[in-house]
Amino acid sequence: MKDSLRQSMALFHTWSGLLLGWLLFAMFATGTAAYFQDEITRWMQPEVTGSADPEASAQGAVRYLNKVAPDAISWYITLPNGRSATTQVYWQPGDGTRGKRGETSAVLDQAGRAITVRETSGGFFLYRFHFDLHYMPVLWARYLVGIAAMFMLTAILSGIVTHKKIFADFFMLRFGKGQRSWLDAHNVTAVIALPFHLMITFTGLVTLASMYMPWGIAANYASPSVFQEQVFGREPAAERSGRAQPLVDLAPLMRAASAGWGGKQVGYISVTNPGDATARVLFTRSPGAAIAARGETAAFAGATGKDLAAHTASGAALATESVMIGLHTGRFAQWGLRWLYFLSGIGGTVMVGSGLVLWTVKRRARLPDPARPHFGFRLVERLNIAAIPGLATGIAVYFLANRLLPADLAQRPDREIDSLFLAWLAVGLWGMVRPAGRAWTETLALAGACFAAVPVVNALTTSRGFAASITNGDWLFIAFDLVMIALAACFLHAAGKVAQHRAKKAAAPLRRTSRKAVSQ
Amino acid sequence: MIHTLAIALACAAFLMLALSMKRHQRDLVGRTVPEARARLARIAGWLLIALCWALEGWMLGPALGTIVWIGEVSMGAWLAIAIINWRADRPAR
Repeated sequence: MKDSLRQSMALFHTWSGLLLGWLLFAMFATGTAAYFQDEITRWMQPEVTGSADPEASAQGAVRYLNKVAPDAISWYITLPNGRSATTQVYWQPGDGTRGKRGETSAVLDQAGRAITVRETSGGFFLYRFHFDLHYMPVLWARYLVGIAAMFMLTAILSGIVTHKKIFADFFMLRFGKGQRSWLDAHNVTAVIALPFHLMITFTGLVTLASMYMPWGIAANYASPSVFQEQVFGREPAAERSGRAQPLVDLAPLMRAASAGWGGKQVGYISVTNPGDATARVLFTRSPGAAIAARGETAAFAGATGKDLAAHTASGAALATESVMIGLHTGRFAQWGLRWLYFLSGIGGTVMVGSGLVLWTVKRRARLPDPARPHFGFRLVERLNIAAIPGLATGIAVYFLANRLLPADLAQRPDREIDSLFLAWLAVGLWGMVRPAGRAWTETLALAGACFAAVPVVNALTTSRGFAASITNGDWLFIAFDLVMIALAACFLHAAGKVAQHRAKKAAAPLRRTSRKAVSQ
Repeated sequence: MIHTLAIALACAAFLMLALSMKRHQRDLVGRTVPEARARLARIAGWLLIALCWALEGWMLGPALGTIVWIGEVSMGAWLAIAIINWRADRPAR
């Protein structure tokens, strides 16, 4: 009875893991990178140096928006924090049009000047790809990602049942033993960070729970917007009165809001009807200041600065959701914990990747004719090549494109993103046309070479190369280079291992057949 | 600094737990360990993990402390696995 449960769980684990493993690998890899999205953005805008003061940045942003979008319906301002030095602004044009991306948003420095030197989506793209994917409608992407996450959760649970000796094999990581080593790697990466994997998968589903399970809201509220209004107290936008009245200085209001939250800083500002007598300013607490992702808010009248004592959403369910999203995104984490998040994420990526490889390793031994595997096997093997070295190469090329594309290229951020996918596609195609074993060596080596090229190209194209970063104590750039070198080393090492393995196999076909005879 | 100490504690905890397991004893100390000692190592291991949690909880509060503790325990386990492998790889004495 017990064994049949384990067998059915193993079967389920194998196939659910395989079916969505490729997507999960991409989600894990980009999600892991997204823990450093602000740092990646800073690396991708090497012209921006130093740090910015939130209050001065808010004033600068208002100056910019007064000039560019004085009659907007609303402004949204994301302030710099300890990790970023720029202000992101976004506005809804007054004529009600949605406006193209890039025309209704800008990245500003502390003085409120638009930064146009090197336009990039930076780490934000990797973050968005993690759940919105790309080149497809966001809604579809989120359903797809949700299905993958659901499978992930069931794969983890069935994996725990399948894993026979979770405690006895806790420390088991044997190298150079073929299938056994892949199983060890899969088990160890899964078990060591098991609390993280469970947390990240479950909370990931929670971030989009009201989209995946809309029925609770549908049964109790007339429409989702009514629910939003009742829970979050979003007041319907007041009509512009037509009486122009300049916005009061935001700095004292920010201090007042911050004082009301026990000193936690303001992270976001939204202003509705700016420049009008009905203007309303809403401050939201910085996500770095507490675990809960939904920050406290404070509202003020934009024309007078009067505290509007806004309704703040509360309740146990909302607080739980807020903390879960906070745990998932890790925005509260200081640098030490952020690295732990990152390393756990790497562990998760390796877990998914080793699981995918394990599927083929396990079946290769049982193939009737190993030289000519059946279609399904070949497909999985090729997709593994596309998914693992392919995505890695793509991300490295994304960083390289940031340094190599001309600064004044039209739609530069999109071209950077296209480079990622073109490289990914190229590696995928390469994996299709080459013999599988050779393709593994070549694509892993390519990924390694691309990562190794990043610090070199960075040193050649900017004044913030490794040596300069060391002398300036520029830890962000030092760490970025080191991570690139570490990734390069891992991929090149893996390429070497595959090549070695292939050479051994080619040298000893006799031994292999004799061993097979023995095992039969 | 205190976090480095916590990771070191977690690593020590897992080494203790490994020491309580027959298959790792020869790698770690070159011989098998009597059952009574092994039980002691197991208790010490779990106590160290608990101590690590108490330390972080005391430093950062129960909420953030627990999150950091889970991350550090994972790190400690990785280090322990690295040490076990390094010891196992050395030629037998």
